Amino acid sequence: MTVRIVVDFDVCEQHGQCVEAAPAIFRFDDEGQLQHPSEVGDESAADAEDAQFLCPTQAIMVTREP
Amino acid sequence: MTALSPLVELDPDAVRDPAGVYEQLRERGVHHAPEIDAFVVARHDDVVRVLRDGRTFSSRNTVGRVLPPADPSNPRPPLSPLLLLSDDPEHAQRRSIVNRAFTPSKIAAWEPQIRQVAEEHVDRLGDLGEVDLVRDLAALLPIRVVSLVLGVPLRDVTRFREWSEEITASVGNHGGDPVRREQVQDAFSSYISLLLDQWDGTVDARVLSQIAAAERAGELTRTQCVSFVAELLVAGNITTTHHIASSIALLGSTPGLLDRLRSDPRLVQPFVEESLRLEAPIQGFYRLAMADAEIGGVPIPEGSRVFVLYGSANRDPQVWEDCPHLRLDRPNAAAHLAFGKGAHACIGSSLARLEGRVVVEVLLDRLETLELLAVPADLPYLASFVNHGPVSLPARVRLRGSVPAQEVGS
Repeated sequence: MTVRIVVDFDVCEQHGQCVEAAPAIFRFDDEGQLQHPSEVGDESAADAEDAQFLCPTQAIMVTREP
Repeated sequence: MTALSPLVELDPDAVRDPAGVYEQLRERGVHHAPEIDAFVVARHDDVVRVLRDGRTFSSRNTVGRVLPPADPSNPRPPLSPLLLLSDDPEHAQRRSIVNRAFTPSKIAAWEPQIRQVAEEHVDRLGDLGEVDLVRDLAALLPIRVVSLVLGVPLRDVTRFREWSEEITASVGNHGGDPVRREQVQDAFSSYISLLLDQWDGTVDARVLSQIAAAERAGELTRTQCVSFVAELLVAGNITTTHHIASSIALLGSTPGLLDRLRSDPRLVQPFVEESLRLEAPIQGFYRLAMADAEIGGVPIPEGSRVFVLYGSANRDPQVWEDCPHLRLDRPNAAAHLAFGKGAHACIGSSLARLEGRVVVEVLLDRLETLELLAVPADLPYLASFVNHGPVSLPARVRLRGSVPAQEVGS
């Protein structure tokens, strides 16, 4: 299974809740830009979904693809 | 008389199936509906825009009216929701405290116990013969699950259910007996206070333990703790009942669906999403324009009420291919707006999704047959254009391995 992650940067306000909830997936780079892989493995699905849920602007879309 | 009239007049056919009304509303675009003195927003993209712009569109009138400001001289002010009617930054700060208890991974830990509760209730149906799947199942499960997840002891669930029903009823009922409301609120507040006082200091998956920890950390006052529990009860009860009931109605009335889900259980989650999309338990909420604005090219003067229709967005053919139909292969299945969008998106969405899936799985597992005794067009729905769901689902069910009721003793 693949877990796809898409962040809508028109909506993201850099609250950083995703970085706090899933630091292995989301991080701010040296310029303060949010960085994340577009795909993660099964083992990271739950963390990615927590980050999606916690995002105050609902900018993160996580989909599980079999 | 406008397109919205049948809904506002609570025409039973329109309330049961508002798709035709929504289609007209989307065609017309954003417009002012005098029946509810609000601008109606029915297209998907417009709905998302309003929900994402909490600065311009305040949530203080979400349920249609603005609550009077708290009276400081009243020692027992009515419980008011902590989240539903607040705006940022207050809303974000409160939400960040209680959010932690409701993340998908925290909620997922409850699955075995929720399944056990669902099995208990479904198995009981076997003894009843003819059942009402709202009264005998959909209305019973959510309060049991909320009690479980909160950490309310099983022995208190009956009392808790009674309070929950009275508090829920008092929310929209301006003419209710204020003395009775105060009595219920006092009893409920004392009870929640007692549970908070008894907290042993450990934080676990039970939501009350997390609320108690927030209180100890000085993030929530006692009154806010009680208000939050009340809000969870009101928000998660009838909505989940309606969601479960609508799912069962779809299961019982869509040819071949039961067999298809049985043959591929991975389709249950997409089915739950489609049930939420097509039969969103909350069809729409209000917002209040805090400044002159524009939605879909239509000017919205400051101070206007805006009625945002999630149920219509969920049927917008611009977003949903083949939108009137239940399909289990949608790539964007979970992108519906049944839980809203933006800062106020439903805090209990993970719990509702889990509960919705588990109930369907248990029904598929336990039921030999499910026969609805009314055709969908005859089912009675709650007389509301905000809340959406059947109030009764007469059915005959047979559990696997059981003897049909009419054959007993023959």
